[in-house]
Amino acid sequence: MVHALRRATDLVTPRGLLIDLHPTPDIAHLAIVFPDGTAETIGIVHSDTAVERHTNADAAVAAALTEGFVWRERADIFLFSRYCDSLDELVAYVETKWTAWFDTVALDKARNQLRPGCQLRLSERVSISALRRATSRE
Amino acid sequence: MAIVHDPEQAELAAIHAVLPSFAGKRVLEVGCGDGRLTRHYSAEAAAVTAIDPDAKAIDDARVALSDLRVSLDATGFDQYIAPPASYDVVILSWSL
Repeated sequence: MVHALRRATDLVTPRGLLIDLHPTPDIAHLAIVFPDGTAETIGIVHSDTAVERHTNADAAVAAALTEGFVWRERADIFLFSRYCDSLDELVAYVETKWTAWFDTVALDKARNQLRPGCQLRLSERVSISALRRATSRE
Repeated sequence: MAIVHDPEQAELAAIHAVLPSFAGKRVLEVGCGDGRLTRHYSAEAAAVTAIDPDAKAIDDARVALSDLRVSLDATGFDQYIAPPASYDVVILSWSL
């Protein structure tokens, strides 16, 4: 992954900007949002690979900074949410796009509590880094 | 109802916090998927190249971004070839 950052750095102009966005290793959460705007977390997303993959992405950015070919101008973490009123659609999305799944307890809660006007919300934390070439400081 | 991504536009706000304007920028987006993020800045940028190894996603992006001048390429970053220092901005879009 640090190789990708190095390649990306080579492609930007000396004063250019490299923006990296990737999920943090924190586990994504499933919630029901009720018509009055309140929400209840009902479960998490299970994945065999997500935590490792996102940890590796964090490590790649850290390695790039340590190796010194970029410096970080700014970093932040934000919450990225997806909404859907169909449990089946969200389950299919998570299975196909994330190779992940919800546990039985979360699915049961969703089926029991999902009513017209409610939405399912799938949220994950995302890291953003603004990186610049080390040469931009010269 | 399809899945609605980030209606709060938290991602866009985070990007604008690090880069307030794409005006005049030559941009490469790596991992553009169906162009969900690309759409938000491409009208403002001088030129946009967006790549993704998922050919189906690139097909979707061609439809979604048909009204915008975006060069789309179904390729992975490892295979993508461009001269050094070709872009003012490179976005690694959930692709590390």
